[in-house]
Amino acid sequence: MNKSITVIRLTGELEIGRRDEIAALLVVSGSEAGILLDFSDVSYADSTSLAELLRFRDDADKQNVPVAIVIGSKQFARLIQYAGLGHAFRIFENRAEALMDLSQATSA
Amino acid sequence: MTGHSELRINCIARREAARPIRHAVAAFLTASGKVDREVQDDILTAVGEALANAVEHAYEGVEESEIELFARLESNDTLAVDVFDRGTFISRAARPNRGFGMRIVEAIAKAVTVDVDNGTHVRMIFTLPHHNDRIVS
Amino acid sequence: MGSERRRALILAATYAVLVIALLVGGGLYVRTLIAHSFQTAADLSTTRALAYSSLRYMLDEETGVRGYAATHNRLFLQPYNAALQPFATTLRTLRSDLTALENSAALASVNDMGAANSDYLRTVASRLLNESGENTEAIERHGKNVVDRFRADVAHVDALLTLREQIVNREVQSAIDRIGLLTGGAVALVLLISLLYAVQQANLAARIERERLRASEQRGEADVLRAAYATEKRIADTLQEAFVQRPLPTHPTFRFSATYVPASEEAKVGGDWYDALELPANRVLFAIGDVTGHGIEAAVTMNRVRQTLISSALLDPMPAALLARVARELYANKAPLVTAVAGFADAGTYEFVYSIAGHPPPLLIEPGRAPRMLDCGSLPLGAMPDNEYRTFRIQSVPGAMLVLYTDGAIEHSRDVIEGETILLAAVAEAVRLEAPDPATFIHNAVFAGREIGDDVAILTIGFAAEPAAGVRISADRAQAAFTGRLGVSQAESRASASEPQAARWTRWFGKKVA
Repeated sequence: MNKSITVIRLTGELEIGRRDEIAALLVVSGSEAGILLDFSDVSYADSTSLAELLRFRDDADKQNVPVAIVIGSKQFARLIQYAGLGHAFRIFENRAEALMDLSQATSA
Repeated sequence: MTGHSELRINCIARREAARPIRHAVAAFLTASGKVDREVQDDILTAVGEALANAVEHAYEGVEESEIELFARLESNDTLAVDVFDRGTFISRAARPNRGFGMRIVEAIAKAVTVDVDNGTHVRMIFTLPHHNDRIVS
Repeated sequence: MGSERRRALILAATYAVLVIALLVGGGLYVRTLIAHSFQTAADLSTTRALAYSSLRYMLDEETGVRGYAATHNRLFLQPYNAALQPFATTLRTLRSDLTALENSAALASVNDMGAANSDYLRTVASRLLNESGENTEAIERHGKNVVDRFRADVAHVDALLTLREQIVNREVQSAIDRIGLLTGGAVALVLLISLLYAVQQANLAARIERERLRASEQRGEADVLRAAYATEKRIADTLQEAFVQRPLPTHPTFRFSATYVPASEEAKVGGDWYDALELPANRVLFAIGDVTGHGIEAAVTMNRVRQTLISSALLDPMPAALLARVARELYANKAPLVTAVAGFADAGTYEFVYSIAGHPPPLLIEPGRAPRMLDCGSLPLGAMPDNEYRTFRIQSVPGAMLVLYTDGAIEHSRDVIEGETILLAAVAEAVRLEAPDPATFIHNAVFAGREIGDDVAILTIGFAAEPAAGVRISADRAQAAFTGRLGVSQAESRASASEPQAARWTRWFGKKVA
């Protein structure tokens, strides 16, 4: 398998003022074995970013690329819970666990 | 402590304005000393959604629109936050995320009302738990 | 209200005191003024009398002197003698009175009277009395001129005094007028104040009436809301009961159990549900779900979802397609979000085929293996306009059991990992003890001594331990594989191989606080 796991890292606040920037970063090429979204240094997120995340996950699903997410802030986790998406994503506390999950997902 | 404290902000609607206004509300809540960190996070999430709603269509109207936020902390431990957006109101039918924003606000706030007369007015009421109820984490 | 009353009374009293003080003060002023002027008038008439007295004395002197001059009889001099002293006294008094009255013009006349009198005494009286033999007629004529001069002075003094009287009268009159005006003004002020007070009282009464009306309006509104809520609850209850909970199927190869405990009596119109329906060819449909919110909208949505799932299940064997259909409908109607698991169990092949939409992962327990959590990670129904779901296929074995539940079963404690661990332990225990009603056992084990915060539904679907005759199982180790939308099956396994899958959530959530 020549594909490798891509890491996309975002930091700071993922809010409407940065929507275009976030949309530009969350893209799936299709050539990844798996994608790790590292949000461990994201301090705040709102539903516009959530929408971008959903769109991204949808693209990844269509191309059969597994996605694992690392979240570092309670606010982000609660946001997802309040949006009713509590079981919609594969979310981990740290990179190590996320990578382990992705490698399990990508190994035959 | 008696009486109330309040915060009022008025400015031109821009997408970049949502974040500083939310930070102003955070400063206001922190300064009051009446809001726990977790409760404050939830309130700011809800307020952030209302603000994002208000500035979302900032560039789509014909004229510049204005947004106003009015936060009022009552002595009976209630916080009321009003967000006004006086722009040309564009239908949201095309949006694919179906307004997770409102869903989130409804999950957090004790009461929410939305008025779409002459722009949009979102009013959220939050109750603050008494300081005796410590949330043990 | 008491203090306002007191304030009003104090104000009224102050007004009254002010007005009275004004009137009293004015009255006293007038009285003083009038007394003063009376005094002045008295003084003036006394003075006038004195002036005419002095004239009488002067005339007496003249009469005496002229009588003697005519008769040379000292008897006829008597008036003259008698008048000398009184005249001097009168003139002195006159002088001092006029000085007190500050009437310098009259004083000048009085001084001239004195001078005239002296002149008379010197140039007339003494000459005639001395019998100097001079021309008596000429002297008497001179004397008459002096007396005329005297008389003119007296008249002058009289005129001046009269003038002064008039002035004083005018002053008194104007003072009286002013007082009259002041009194009139005070009365008008009192009337005005009374009017204002009356107006204020009227306004107050009007405001009280308005408040009363508003309060009764609000009461009316509250009543309307209460009635509306009661109606909504009745309708929701009716809807709930209208969809009668289907009894669990009975089939030789399947084992079912289920419990549903709503959070409260009020939330009897809960948001959770489960269904199990027997289908032809040894298959069974199972579903479990959770609608956000309570009330009529949730009840209607729940019914619609269940109907769609059940009716579509008769035609479509792919759970992903079932969920996709429901999802489209929900999105189109802007319904509340729904999480669900729907699938089929096949008693002929011991397969579970299922699809998940934003719901907590099902647990699979197979004989000789620890319970494990199956894969999850998908969007709730109605979240996106065109969401697609995955179908998972698990090849299982006799004696296996699939446990479906709603998140009330794991999110009762602050820590979701803890919740999942407790659930897994309860499930393992139920299997170990071969509980005949695993769902109830699991529910009781999880909530032993614990408060139920949210609705909890648990549904278990198991395969009987003894395989039915003539059935072959392709593998003795379960493997999960997912079938893509295009019907191409891929061998990728997404379910964890052996260990209970650690939950992905960590200590994020607490009680909702606002």
